[in-house]
Amino acid sequence: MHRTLHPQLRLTLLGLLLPFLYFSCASFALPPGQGAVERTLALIDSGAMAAVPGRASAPFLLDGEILLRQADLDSLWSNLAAARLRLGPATIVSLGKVAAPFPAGFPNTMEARSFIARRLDASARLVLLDTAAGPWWLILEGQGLGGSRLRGIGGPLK
Amino acid sequence: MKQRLLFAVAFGLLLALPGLWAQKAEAVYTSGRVDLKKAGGKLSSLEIGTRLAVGDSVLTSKDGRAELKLLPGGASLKVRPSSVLLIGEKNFSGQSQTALQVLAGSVSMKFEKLVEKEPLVGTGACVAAIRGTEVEVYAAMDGSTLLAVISGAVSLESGGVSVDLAADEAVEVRPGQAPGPKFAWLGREKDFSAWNRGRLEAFLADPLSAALEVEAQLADYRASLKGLLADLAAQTALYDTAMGELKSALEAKDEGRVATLRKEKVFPLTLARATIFLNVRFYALSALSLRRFALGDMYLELKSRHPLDLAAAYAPYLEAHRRILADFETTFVPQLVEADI
Repeated sequence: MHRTLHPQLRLTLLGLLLPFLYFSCASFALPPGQGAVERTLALIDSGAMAAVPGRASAPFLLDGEILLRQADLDSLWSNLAAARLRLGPATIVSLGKVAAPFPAGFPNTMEARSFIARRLDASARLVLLDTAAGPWWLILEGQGLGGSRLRGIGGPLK
Repeated sequence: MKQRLLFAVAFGLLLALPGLWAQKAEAVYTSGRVDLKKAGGKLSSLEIGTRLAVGDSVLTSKDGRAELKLLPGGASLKVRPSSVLLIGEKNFSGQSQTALQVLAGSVSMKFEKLVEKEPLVGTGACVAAIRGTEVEVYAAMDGSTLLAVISGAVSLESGGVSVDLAADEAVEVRPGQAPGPKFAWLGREKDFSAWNRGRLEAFLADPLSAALEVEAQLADYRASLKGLLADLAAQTALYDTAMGELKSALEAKDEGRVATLRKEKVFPLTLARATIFLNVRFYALSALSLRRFALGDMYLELKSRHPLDLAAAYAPYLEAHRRILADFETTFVPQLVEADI
């Protein structure tokens, strides 16, 4: 005899199952979208560097340099805040996978190549920005459902 | 491509060195965040009881501390916050020796008893031989080294000049330069952050000079590497000839000749090539350390202070930085693998 679950019971089970799947699959992450980029830029431009998601996520790529130590990341963000870095108003030129072909002037050091090949997950996205200070780039990586963290920043591209 | 192939073959040769892959240290204490970067490139948290091998690095965060016990011998290595310690290996005076390199921050090393072969200690910029020693090693953001001897003796070489240090003596060494004058060590832990801050201020006042010092040190490594690669090519030619002779002997089923060739030519040449390659790796990794933890830190300090006008504010420095990186890519990167990065 074929039996089906009551719709309400099905919903309840689904509600229980989804968080379980989410938390048991830590590597699952959605690629960051335009909203994540805009939120990150807003935090940087407002000087709220301490709130930038991923600001302490080592390793981190700064232009062609890998920052491996948390102390280096602390220096980076405290100095950027002191220097009042503002990238806005900025427009998103492209948002795609971190893969060749890279834009002209993108760092081609072994550090950068290795970082991209070994230290990013599949959700990472390269964001090209047109800013008042010239073309800049960000690397954002997904973190859980809808979250994201900054993994790299650089510019201006020449 | 040919160089890459040579690298791959030579890397395989390292397997011929007895004990190379043996575990060199064990983590006996950690607090705060402490990471382990394996020689294969994998990053993970360092747990108490973890055994470390050649090529592994320990990285402490600003609240992280780690203590390692060196194997064998039981020497104690205390890695302070915001530091990086690489466990390397170098052929020194015909013997392979563990080389403990403080790439950033500070590490205290204490040898409780004399072991058969004491390790070399140093930074990305210099190496010292130690004898029954308790020593403090500091590596600043500009690649400078401060080495202080608490007990025992140390012989340090840099820029072609050697200096011998006894207990309660210390010396500062700038990249690519001869050691500075010895000075009395007060027998207490130096305020590393104050010294590092002083080096940072000196760098900010004259970044070009600091970059040129790193360039001079890398030029020393390049010269050593060039000599080693020439030796490796010569040994490889001899090895290829020996392998040709071995193949002929095998085809002729001349078992006596096969055994002689293996014992007297093939094995010694394999070992000789592996030994040379060990030092090729040592210099390439030392160069990488200097490039990352000195040149990289210098760039970080300037870029983060001048994110929008770096090119205008520091044009001569940037020109030197780009030149050094371009040379690094052509000279040292062919001797590295992605996992090193």
